[in-house]
Amino acid sequence: MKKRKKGQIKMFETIAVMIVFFFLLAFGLSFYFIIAKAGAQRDHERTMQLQAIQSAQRISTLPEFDCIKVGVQIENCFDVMKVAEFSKKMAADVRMKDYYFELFGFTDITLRIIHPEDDPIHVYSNPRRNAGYDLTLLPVLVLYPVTDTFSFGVLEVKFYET
Amino acid sequence: MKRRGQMEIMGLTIIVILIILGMLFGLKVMSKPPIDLEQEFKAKSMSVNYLNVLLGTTSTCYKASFRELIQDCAQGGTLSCGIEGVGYLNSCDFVDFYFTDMLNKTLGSIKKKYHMHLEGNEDVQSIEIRNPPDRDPCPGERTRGTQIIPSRRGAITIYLDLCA
Repeated sequence: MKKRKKGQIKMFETIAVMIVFFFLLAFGLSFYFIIAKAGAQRDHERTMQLQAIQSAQRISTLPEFDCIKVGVQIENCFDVMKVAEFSKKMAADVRMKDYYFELFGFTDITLRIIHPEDDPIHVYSNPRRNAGYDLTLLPVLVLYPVTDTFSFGVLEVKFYET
Repeated sequence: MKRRGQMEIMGLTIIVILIILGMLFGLKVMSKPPIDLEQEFKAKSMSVNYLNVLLGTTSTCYKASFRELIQDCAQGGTLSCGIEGVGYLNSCDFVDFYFTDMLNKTLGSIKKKYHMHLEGNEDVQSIEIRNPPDRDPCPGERTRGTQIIPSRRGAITIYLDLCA
């Protein structure tokens, strides 16, 4: 009778140890997965941001928008007259949107003129439905060729997830 | 008896293995991720871009660029220009006012923390912009953009820190 009781106690002891072991294992695993998930999300966001910066920088070097002074292209500069004309044509011609899709993809591009303040110009709009986006602001100079002045602007690029 | 001893040694080995695994995992979590040079370069070029564009912008003060206004500030701030609703400001305060406004409308709108300050003589050091304004915005990591502006009273270095 005594021996049987001792065996039962031993069995309970083993079960208790196993419960503690599996509890610790589950806790460790859940902790690991939470950290791994947060890391992966951070990497994903950073990659999206970099892609948005890359496409914004690509746009800023296009001859369709650039500023030329004495035959030399000015870095990070948009000619307001060229951008306004491009925007008008983009709104009127659907084929033009198809043509630029290869370059811009699923993005929304707006030129915001901050100082001195002026109306924003919507350069290109092709959002992806039900998809998240990363917003990048690229600082740019906006040339007003008539007055020969530079305004402070930002190229707002909404880069949609693929 | 012998069997019980073997079992205990086995248990001890498992515990040691688990502790080692835990320590390795802890080390991995605590150690910083390797710095990606390309990413670092792009983040840095962003802060330099902001500085280039801010300095190249034409102001409403005698159509001078902000670079020229900072040069004037370093040389005693002889220029004085009016701002609607504020009044007349010398070039140092004028630059401070508009840089605060422009950075607030761009970086501030996306809740980005930043710190801009100038090194040179006392006059230019008065230009300092922080977001948030009441404390050090970048206690941790930051990417710094730098520009040097020459002036008759020595070079001025302008820094823009974008906080991680």
